[in-house]
Amino acid sequence: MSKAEKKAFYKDKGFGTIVVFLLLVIVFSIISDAFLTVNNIMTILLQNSALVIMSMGMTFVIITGGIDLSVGGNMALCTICASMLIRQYQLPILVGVGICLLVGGLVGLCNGFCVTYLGIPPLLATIGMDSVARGLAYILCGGATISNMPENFKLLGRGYLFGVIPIAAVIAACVVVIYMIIQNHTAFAVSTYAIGGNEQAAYLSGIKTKSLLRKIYVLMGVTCGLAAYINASRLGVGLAAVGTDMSFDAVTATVLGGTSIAGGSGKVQRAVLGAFIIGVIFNGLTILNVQSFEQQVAKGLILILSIGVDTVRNRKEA
Amino acid sequence: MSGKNFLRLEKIAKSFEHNMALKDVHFSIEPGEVRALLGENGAGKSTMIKIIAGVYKPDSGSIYIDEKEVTISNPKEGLDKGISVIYQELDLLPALSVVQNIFLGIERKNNLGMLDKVAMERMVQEYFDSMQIDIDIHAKVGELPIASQQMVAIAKAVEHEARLLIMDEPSSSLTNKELEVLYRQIRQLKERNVAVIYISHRLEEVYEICDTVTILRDGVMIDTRNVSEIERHEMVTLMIGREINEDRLNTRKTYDGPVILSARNICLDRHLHQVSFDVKKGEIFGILGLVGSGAIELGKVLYGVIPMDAGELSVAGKKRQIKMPSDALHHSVSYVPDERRAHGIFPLLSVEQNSVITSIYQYTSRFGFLNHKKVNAAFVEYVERFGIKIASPNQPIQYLSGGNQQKALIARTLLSNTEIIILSCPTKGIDVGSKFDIYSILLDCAKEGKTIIAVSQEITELVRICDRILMLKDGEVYHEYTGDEISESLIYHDLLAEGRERR
Repeated sequence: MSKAEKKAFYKDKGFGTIVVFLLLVIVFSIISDAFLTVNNIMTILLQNSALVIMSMGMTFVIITGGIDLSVGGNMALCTICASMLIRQYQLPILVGVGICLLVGGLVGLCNGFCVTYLGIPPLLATIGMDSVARGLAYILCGGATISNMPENFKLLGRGYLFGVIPIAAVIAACVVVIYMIIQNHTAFAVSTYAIGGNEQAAYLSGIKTKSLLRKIYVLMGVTCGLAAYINASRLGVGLAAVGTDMSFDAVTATVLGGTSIAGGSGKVQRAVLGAFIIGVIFNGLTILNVQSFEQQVAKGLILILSIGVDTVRNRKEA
Repeated sequence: MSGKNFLRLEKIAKSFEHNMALKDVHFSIEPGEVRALLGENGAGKSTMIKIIAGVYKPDSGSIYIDEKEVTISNPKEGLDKGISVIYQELDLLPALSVVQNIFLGIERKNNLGMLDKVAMERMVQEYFDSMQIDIDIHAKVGELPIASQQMVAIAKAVEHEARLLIMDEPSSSLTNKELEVLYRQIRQLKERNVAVIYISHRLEEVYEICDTVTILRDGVMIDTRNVSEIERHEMVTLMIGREINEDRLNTRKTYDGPVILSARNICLDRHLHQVSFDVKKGEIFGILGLVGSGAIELGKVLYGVIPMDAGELSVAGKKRQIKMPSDALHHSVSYVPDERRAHGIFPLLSVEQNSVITSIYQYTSRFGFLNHKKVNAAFVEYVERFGIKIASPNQPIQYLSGGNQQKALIARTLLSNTEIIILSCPTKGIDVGSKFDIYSILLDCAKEGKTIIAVSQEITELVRICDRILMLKDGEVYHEYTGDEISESLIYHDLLAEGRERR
């Protein structure tokens, strides 16, 4: 590596994230013997599978310069629709997953429509959609928990491969790989970066910017549907109250991973690291018996800090 | 005149990347003096006023106000020192009223600390009455026509007690009657001992309103004279320079070919009125016009950036509806925008991605996956052919010079393989060496049968490369130059001529 390349490497947004992650792991393993055990690592993987999946879609949305704060409500709607139908008709796993993807995609389409056709800023459009979707979920289930789910419903969220590796984590890993392939090897991804970097130039380059943005919000919705299924399957019941912190966590994971909130740059694999930083912190704090109220404060600080660092970086580069 | 300078620049120099915009400029202006600043596009006028206004920092040299050395590090400091600039793009707030805009930042307050609206309204109304300006002082500025907005901008400078007012081509969008109001406003400023720097391309205005004239060429201060002591012809000669290099790079005397693009009666709001012309396959067709002529807008209409209000476009003999850029590309028309940073490049993406973005679907397999090898091969061909200087194909384009960025953008249009290429201000903000590279690229393309439409304000470059030049004035076709008519001095005189009607 040349000197300039080395410098660029250390300055690279990914580098800091890796350092933070390793530091956290080291600190927690010193403080607690319970932290660095196979059992606990698998727990962290399982607990964060839905978040990892979610942050893949979120990275693409944020690369375009947008944001999707409706994923919590979307998750609730997907969960309720799927779990009610599954219980009613005893549907097989794949059909259940399909329902989630479909509902999630539809909510994403509504988001895309609001953002492109109506021209509502993504922040507001998706906050509105969050409320609509969660409201619909409560209406459908009447506020009740959808329990007495068939046994196979719990497989993806609670099952283990070879008795150790959570199936949910394997699915999350597959989603990450798929997203990395899309990111690195498709014209779709190049156009996505282009829109985030300079929307006007993208339009002038013949990219159908509105249609592309709609696709990205749909993709986010579909991804959200998958996360919703895995989350519900892990809980074993359908709850309209799920995912209240999900949009917050997914945005934090993405930005922690170095995807600029201003759009135009970012990498999905880094969002994985971002998601695990959040996961490790909460796992560590829980092991250390820190109350959830304090965890709430920590979470907020992490988001502010990571966006703060990103903003200062952008200002310096400008 | 008093003989005391309000503002003095000494040995000011400024360069952008490797491009010297100003060299060793000396300049001074006295209170109450109206100075014309003349020069071709790219002569350094804008750079100079931006340095005075505090937008740019000079690389070297000193600025004196009232003979005291000062630094003006941002526009706010400039304003505080009494320097107001009225740019072509007015920086008024469209949602606020005329009065609110004029008193922005210097609002009058009554004894209770509340806004004294009555007093402010009275002051504005008195000023407007004295200037015979008929504008509703309560109207929102955004709802006023450009000419009225300009009057508001000047009124704002007056109320802010500007001591130097710089006007960048204030007349470009004005009718004769509005021009009278502008003159009246300038004369009143003069009475108040305000110095005025007046930038215009219209020499008759210089004779009408200015006391003195400073001529810039290629970033060098050529001369400053009293307007009464200089002939019109001499002014033009000084502006263009003695060595009028009429060497055409395009060696074709005349060119003929089948018509590939034809425009009929194109209308666009205030910008274009009934514009018609034909472009032949394989020619380099120039569209010339100053700011406000509609030339830039015409380029955008042809590419569908702005949909036309009325008129017809035919490409290769077939009537085509071009409502957005993707339509234009579909009908084999591509475009290089004039605002390279704002509308052209993706600063964070690599040079390679920037070059292939328009044609990217040519390099995907059936399942939508990119063939990186094919992309790279296509890109490298143009890097070599155009001599684009890059460290690696993955280098973000933002780190390249303007010339290399522009070459990458031209490569983008060629990779998209369209028959017709429109370039808006093809060499704006580019150093001389790269300019010639770009001219030869365009000439090569024409030889290979591509059709080039070059929209520009620079006569020199159009004369060098075009087979035909269409001049627009006030949104109408003024004249089409072919053959021997393509001469820099002839076109320049026409451009500055007063007449607005077609010949």
